[in-house]
Formats: sequence, structure tokens, C-alpha cells
Amino acid sequence: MANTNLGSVNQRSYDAIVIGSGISGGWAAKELTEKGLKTLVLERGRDVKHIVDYPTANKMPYEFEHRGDMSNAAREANPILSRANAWQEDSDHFFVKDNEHPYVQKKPFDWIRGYQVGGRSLLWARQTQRWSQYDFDGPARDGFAIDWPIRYKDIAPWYSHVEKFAGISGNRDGLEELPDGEFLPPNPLNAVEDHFRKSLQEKFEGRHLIASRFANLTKSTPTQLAQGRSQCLSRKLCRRGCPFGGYFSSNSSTLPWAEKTGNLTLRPHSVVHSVIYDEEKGRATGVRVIDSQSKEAIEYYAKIIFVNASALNTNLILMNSVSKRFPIGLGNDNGLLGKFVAFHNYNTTIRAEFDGLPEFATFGSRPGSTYIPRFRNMFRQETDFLRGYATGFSARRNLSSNRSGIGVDLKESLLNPKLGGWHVGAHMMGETIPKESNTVSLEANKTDSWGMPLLNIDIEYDDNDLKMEIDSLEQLSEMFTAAGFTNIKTTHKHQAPGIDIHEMGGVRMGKDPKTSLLNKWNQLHACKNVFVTDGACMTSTSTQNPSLTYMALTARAANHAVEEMRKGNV
Amino acid sequence: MNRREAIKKTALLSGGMILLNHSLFGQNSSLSTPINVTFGPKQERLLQMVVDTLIPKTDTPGAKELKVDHFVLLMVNDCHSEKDQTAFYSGLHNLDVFTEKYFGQSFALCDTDTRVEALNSVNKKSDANPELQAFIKITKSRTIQGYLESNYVMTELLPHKMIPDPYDGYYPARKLGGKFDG
Repeated sequence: MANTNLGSVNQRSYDAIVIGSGISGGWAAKELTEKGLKTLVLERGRDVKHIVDYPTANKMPYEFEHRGDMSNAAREANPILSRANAWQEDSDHFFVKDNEHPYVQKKPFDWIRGYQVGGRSLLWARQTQRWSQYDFDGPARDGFAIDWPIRYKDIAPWYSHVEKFAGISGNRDGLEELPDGEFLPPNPLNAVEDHFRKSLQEKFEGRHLIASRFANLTKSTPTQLAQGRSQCLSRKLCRRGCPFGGYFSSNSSTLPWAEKTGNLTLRPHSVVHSVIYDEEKGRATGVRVIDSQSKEAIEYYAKIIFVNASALNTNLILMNSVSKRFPIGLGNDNGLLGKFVAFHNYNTTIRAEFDGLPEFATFGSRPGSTYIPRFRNMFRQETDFLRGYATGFSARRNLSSNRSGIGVDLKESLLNPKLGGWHVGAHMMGETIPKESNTVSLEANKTDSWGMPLLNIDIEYDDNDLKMEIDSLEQLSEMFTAAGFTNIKTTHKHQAPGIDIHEMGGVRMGKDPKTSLLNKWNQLHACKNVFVTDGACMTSTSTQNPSLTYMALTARAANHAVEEMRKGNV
Repeated sequence: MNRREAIKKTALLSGGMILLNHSLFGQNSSLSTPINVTFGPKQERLLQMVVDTLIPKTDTPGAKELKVDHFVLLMVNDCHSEKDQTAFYSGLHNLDVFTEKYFGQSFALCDTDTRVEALNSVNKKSDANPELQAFIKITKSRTIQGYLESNYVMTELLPHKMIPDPYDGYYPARKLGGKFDG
């Protein structure tokens, strides 16, 4: 390596290294620096400073050349990225372009990435529902994957911990299947959403419509004001980065907080090549980095290492971390690294109209919508498929214009929009079953611009997913009909996995080192000073948007790591 | 750098509003189009007349005054498929053929009412050229977008709120002119 004299080694030594600055890496950085650990955060992309690096945040729609649309040339150059809804003219700078970071698709997989400080925490959908006991019990009860090594009670205090800091809005709904948390005021339901809620309550047992829990500040408490964040103004321009810190991101919250401790060193442009394993010491001692600009290789050293590179890149880094002790990837004694990768299924949507409640309309804007927790196979197995799906739902009644005329009539109509009818829409969010055949592996003979092997992604849907998709359309149609919704239109998409942007697994947690990579504290069974707390650690996927769970697992693991360090155990 | 890029750069330097500036085109110039078609001053004027017919000047500026024709071209060239582009440019060429057949003169020579009638009838005549129909459809939708999302309309006529009103999910429909009064 470049320079190995002692002085330089000391300069490159920290108490902790965190690989990745996205939603989980930011939490690792916050917890570790708060506990006094000198922490190096490595980010492969460029720096994005809160507010100053949100160039489009305050632009009017007419300031965008194509009013938000991506050009044909851009779409043709980025067939994968063009399938991501949030990729628009105002957020283009936060997305990885297809040709910049290629990967191999054994089967179609849309891998949507954001390589910059903050990662995809700048772009996430901000839904933050807790997992319940029934989610952690799932694999053991239904006999798939392996049993989780933790239960709801283990993570519950950590959910509270991250919710209070991040600022999560929600209603205390008292549902066993979707536990309440530390909530800011909930997003309001509108007249038709309330109507649908009541209809479900009366006509369907165990189906509840609630205000979805969101990481937008419906109120700013002293905790968020201390972070420099103020109330969400419902601009719904989150993907541009929020100058008010109205939603939670690493950039607005955890990273500046970590920086204030004086213990944070943030190094952008740092592609992690591998985790360094010391054969004699029997532990990881640091991280090998390739500077993305100079392409120089540099080593950094630390007592503990958190791998938060995003699920699939975490797999890639561990597989690329080979040593005599670990010839097929760090901690990979059982050969299961990169296997049992799973995701969420968003393949069905449904929309309809409603003639009722004509006396009401919707006015203004809110950051959230509504949510129906999983009701299928919740407390017992009821169908011929495993698990189930949560549902996102929203209703609206807005002003709109008749556009049929030409000339003065058209102009008059455009300038005097009229109130239309109610429109409702819903989409499924399905649990997928982790399978050994859904894998990522290294493509040894193909490397990227930094000499890193490309990731080969071999992931697909299965029959269980298809049955669940069909069931979701049947059940939602029935629920819509029962509520009096009309002109129901269903859409059954057959999109590739990945576009849900909820990739999980490959380095799963478990009780037994023979069948899992991580223990109940997210430590590699075979290399205990390496922690994996991003999506890669997930044993199963449940239906809830996963980020809140990554945050809680990260905070829990980081605090355990500090305790273990103090006891001299890692 | 080709002409289009040069024009875009100039537009950028002149303050961010990225509309093709008409005065930049010389007498015999043609916009560089993504496909091989003729698009010269004659076609530019015809497109301008079409957008002017769709959204005319009244006591407020119309699409022509707001240079929405430039926006239409920009969107067609940058954001539409090649199939759309082909239909758009050849449909434009077919407009005069259509008005001469049904209204006895070129579109330019028709009076305002006849122009409105001509555009309205394109979709009603079963023998109308499908590319002309596609041209009208694309031009109309992009004209409406370019007009509603113009600086002028978004600041003067229907002010765009960067900070929206607080949400009310039980807003009285009658306050929005709802025809159902509860």
C-alpha cells in the first residue's frame, strides 16, 4: 500500500469505520460518535451537504427545461434508471446512471442506486411502519428461510430511539400487527379515506386503514429543532433534498449530528475494495479503499467496522474480502453469503371513482397517505400462498380542467379549473420469500473503472408471488366494491424485481452459524468486530418499508458494539 | 457544438428560461431536428399559427405571445419517441393539404373561426391523415402544458405556490364551486 510508516498508519486509524453514509450508515455514525468513538465514514460517491448541495430545491416548475421530464436521449442511455419514478429532471443528480456503474443481470433486475453522501436517504419514500412480533415470528411459523434471532421486544426500544430522533408522524392505532411508536401528529385522512376505513371496519374482519407513518415532521419538536430541522411544509419535493429538513435523511439529520460531536471524519470518493482480515489476530483490522478520483489504494484501520454499503453492495464488499481464513468471502464459512436475497412485490395497482360524499373535496397538500397493514395469513395460515401484502391507499378530489375545446373556450377552461369527482387508488406491497436460488455473486472476469468485480444478480419472482398478486387484486376489488367505489380498474404489472428499491438479504441474521452469517447483534458469526446492519442483514422481508427497521437494528448494534468494546470483547 | 446546443447554451446564459429564441434563426435557417425532415421558416410560422389558434391572445397573452411553439418543438425533439417525431413533422406538412381539401385554402389564409373549426374537425374526418391527427394531439397537449407551466401563467394568472396550503380532507366542495352542494 501507498504508505505504511507508523505515523501515517496512526493518521489512518480510527476507533470505528462505517462503510456507507445512507440511511443505516448515518445512524451508525451518529451512535458511534455520540459514544465517543473516533469514526471514519466512507462514502463511494461525492459529498452532498445539507441545503447547499440541493441545487434544484427551490426552483419553480418552469425553470426546468423539460418541465420535469427526462429527455429521450437520457432515457435511452438509462433503460434501468428510467423505470424509477423518482428519476426526474429535478432529482437527476442524485441517481446513478446505468453506464457509470454496470452490473450483470443473469435475470432482469432493476438496481436503482444513489452514490453520494446520504445515499438513497435523500430519495426514499419515507414510510416508516414498525415490524410486529408476527413479522419476526414469520419464518419459524411458516417454515421458510430461517428463524430470526431476535423478536419484537428486542427491537422495540430501538424503534422508539430512532423514531424520537428522526421524527415520525403517525396515529396510535393500537394494532397488534403494526405496533404504535413514538409519534408526531398523524397525517390527516380525507373524507373518502375515512369512509373506506369505516367500510373496512364494518364489512371485513381484521382489515384496518390507518394514516401511514411517515418520516416527515408534522411538527418540529425540540429534538428536531436541535438538528436544525423544521416542520414539513408539504411541498412534496423531497427528492430534491429539503432545505427545511422537513423529512429525515442522513444529510439533514444523523451526519451533521455526528459531525457536531467532533468525532466524525467523512471521506467521500472512497470506493471500499474489501475489509482487511488479520490472520494472526483473527479479526478485521481495517478497510481497503480505492480513491474514486485518483484511483489510489489506501488502507484505513479501526477496532470495529460497520458495513452499511446498501444491501447488494455490502454483499459485494464481503465477497471481495478474501483471505486465507476466508477464501470465499469474509465470514462466509457456510457458503451462504449472497444467497437468500429477497425484495418487495409492488406488481399490482387498482384505481376507481366514487360518487359519494359530494359535499367534500380535498384542498392543500400533505406529505403522507394511508396504509392497510397486512391482513392475509396474519394470525394463522389462511391461503394457498405464504405471507401477504400491505396496501397503500389514497383518495383525492381536486380541481381540473376540461381540455376538449380549442381556442378561447380552451383558454377559459384552463384558467378556470372545476371540481371533478373523487378518485381513489391503491397498490400492494408484498412480502417475498427468501430463496437460496435468489443470489448475487461476483463476476470475476468483469471489473468496473475502479477494478472492482461486477455484481452478478440472479433474482426472480416465484409462484408464491404470482398467487399473492392475483389475491391482492381480488381482495382490493372486493374491498373497493363494498365501499361503493365504481369504475374499478386493475393493473397487473410484470416488472422486474429491484424497482421496489427494497433489496434485502444475502448476509442474513440467524441463531446458527451453519445457516446464517450474522448473530442477533448483527455481528459476523466468524468475525465479531464486523457488523452488517443495512438491508443485507434481513432474514425475511415482511411487508413494511424497511428503512425504519434498518435504523433501529443499526442503533441497537452500534450500542452493543460500544459496550463490547468497553468490555474488551471485540 | 451543433446549432441546437449553441442555442440552448445561449438560452442558459441569458437567464435560465430555456426556450428557443426565435430571433436566433436567420431567414433561411432551419431548426436541427432529430429526424430527417424539412423544418424551415414556413413550418415555424405554421406551428406558431396552430398554437395561437389553440390558445389565443385575449385580454391576456396567448400561446404565441408566450413562445409556447418553441416549447412544443423542444419537447417533441427531446422527449418524444421517433414515431411521435415522424408523425409530428409530417402531420404538420399535412395541415395545409387538409384545410385546402375541406376549407378551400391554406391554414394561413383561413380566418380565426375557420382555423378553430379546422383543428376541431381533424379528429372527426375519417379520411384525415393519421399523422395529422397525431400532430394535433401532440401539439395540443404540449401547448397546454407549455402554457400552464409558463412563467407568466404560473406567476400572473394561476400563481404556483411553492409552499402549498395546509391540507384539508373535508374541504367544503361548494367553496371550490362543486356542483354537488351537500
